[in-house]
Amino acid sequence: MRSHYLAICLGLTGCLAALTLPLVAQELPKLASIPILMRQREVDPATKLALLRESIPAAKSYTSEPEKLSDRIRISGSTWRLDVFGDGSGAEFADADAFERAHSSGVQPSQAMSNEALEASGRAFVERTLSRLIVLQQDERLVLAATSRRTEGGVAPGGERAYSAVVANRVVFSREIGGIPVVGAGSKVTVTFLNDGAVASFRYDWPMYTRTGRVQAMAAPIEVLHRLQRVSGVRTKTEADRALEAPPNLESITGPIKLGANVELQDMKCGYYDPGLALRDQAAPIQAGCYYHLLETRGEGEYVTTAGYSGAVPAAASFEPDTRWPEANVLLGVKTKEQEGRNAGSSKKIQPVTPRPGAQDQ
Amino acid sequence: MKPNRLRTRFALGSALVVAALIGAPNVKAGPHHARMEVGIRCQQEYQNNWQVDVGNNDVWRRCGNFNSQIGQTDNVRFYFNLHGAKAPLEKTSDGCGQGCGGADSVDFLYMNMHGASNSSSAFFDMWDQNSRAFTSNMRLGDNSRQLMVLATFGCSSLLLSDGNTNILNRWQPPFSGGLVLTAGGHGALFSGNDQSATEFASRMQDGEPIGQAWLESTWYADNRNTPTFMNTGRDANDCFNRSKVSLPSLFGTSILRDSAIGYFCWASWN
Repeated sequence: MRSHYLAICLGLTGCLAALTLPLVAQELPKLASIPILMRQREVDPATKLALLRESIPAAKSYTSEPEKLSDRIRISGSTWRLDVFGDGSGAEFADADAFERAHSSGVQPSQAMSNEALEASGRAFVERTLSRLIVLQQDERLVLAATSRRTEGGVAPGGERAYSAVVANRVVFSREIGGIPVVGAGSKVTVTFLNDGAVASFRYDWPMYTRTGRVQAMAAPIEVLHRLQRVSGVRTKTEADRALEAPPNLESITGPIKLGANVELQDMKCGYYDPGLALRDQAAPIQAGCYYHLLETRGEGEYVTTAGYSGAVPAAASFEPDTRWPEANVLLGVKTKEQEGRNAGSSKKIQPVTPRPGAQDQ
Repeated sequence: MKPNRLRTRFALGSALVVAALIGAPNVKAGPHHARMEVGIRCQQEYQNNWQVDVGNNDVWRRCGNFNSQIGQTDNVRFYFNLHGAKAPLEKTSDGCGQGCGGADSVDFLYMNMHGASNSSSAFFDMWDQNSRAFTSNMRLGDNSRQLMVLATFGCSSLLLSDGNTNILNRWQPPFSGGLVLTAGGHGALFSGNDQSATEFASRMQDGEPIGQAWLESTWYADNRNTPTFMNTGRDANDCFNRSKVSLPSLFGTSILRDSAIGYFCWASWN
């Protein structure tokens, strides 16, 4: 299950992997600096696709050339598809047949796969099927990052025949490099299992990283929280300026933190920040960052609205520019272009609309 | 540093953003579907800042991404903001037409704004200060083009944790008009990764069931998201069968209104 307590690791003081224990204040060895990495560009997505095809029973007999789409190459059968994205460092397999069976293989929530069983099944799958794609260097480790359940429910209009079941189970693994986790969408492997153990889908973004030779010193924990307040304030055009007590280290914080009157940090995890293939600037380095989730509430009584927003703040004392990192741009004072808003519809333009062909009146 | 020692000391409590991979259109691969009439209504900032502007142009970018992607296979008839939009979304005026952005004037309506729920209604915040469109005041799918799908990127409109009575209070009214499926969140949907809209449209264009496309695209954008969809059926079996509705099968899906609805069903990632 997803943990709801705050998991902040800062100073990269071992914001590491343990998976079920709440954070506690302890004396920890601290890293004063980390190496800056680059995401190494892959060169041959077709080779990656061939490796995957050999490992997936449904795809093994596929002999045609892959379909070339704008951001991926694809092979597919009548009930499955396998996409390799971009430069080949990401891929997704989805088995529609398996998802079709998900409902019929639903179980009571109490009988769903345990997290331990899910992790074990996920690791076995990665080892068996993806070992040539999910490659770990000498100082790297595959670590459990999250689990999730797909649930179904239902009820008749009068409240009868209520139903609830878990129909699929998802496990996410991430990468640690020298004990430091990668946060963001990069370096993630997700595997989805039905309750009968069948793999319904997998997806990964798993680049090779190389060292740039540059090193960055880490910011103090309180500085990162102040950055978060500043980013939140700029983002939402409101003040998030509550005075914060400087924690000895951020691991000592075990609950949500109020950053402003209505703004609360839900969780934050620090490490190497890789936003993933789709969101990152290919030329930008992989730097220290802290991924956050913030909630901001407005309203009273029956009309409380909660806004959720997420992102990552730089965790290095001095960080390098990255045009596609909004928080870095805010902190560096780089102006980004505001997009034009839209017009409202006109209440004067009331007009009939062509009915949909075959639309019924009932 | 001794990583092996440290590993046992920390919790990995925060959820992760997982593999947001998809960035560009992908329409060539999909099976054919009849062109839908599509409407988009979104709101980034609010009058007198009465609701939070989540910043980074996230809402405009998300809706722009949906517009760009779905527009490659379907007819986007309007992309409006939510100024004065309460009436065109509620039954008061939902059939006012495409020129005024009426919910029932299209087959598929995509929205991004703040949302929430109380025991009697889900609601969506309009730009206008203190104005909200309530699901309890909606009856979707019963006039004009007869809306079939309502997808809303907004928090908690499909809240599931407070019991079936409240779920029915909130969603029986809009479905009574014949709406086929709605997609939203049972809790928070975090702004920050606007690629989810491109991926949602792209997956639908690939022929994936609409609900499945929503769950996958929204969860992969940030796995603290709580994507959910809901639909109706004549009975439970019919409901779960209809939950597989896709763009190719959408127009062939029979419309269920009022007493023809025998079951409500939903699916979500937690």
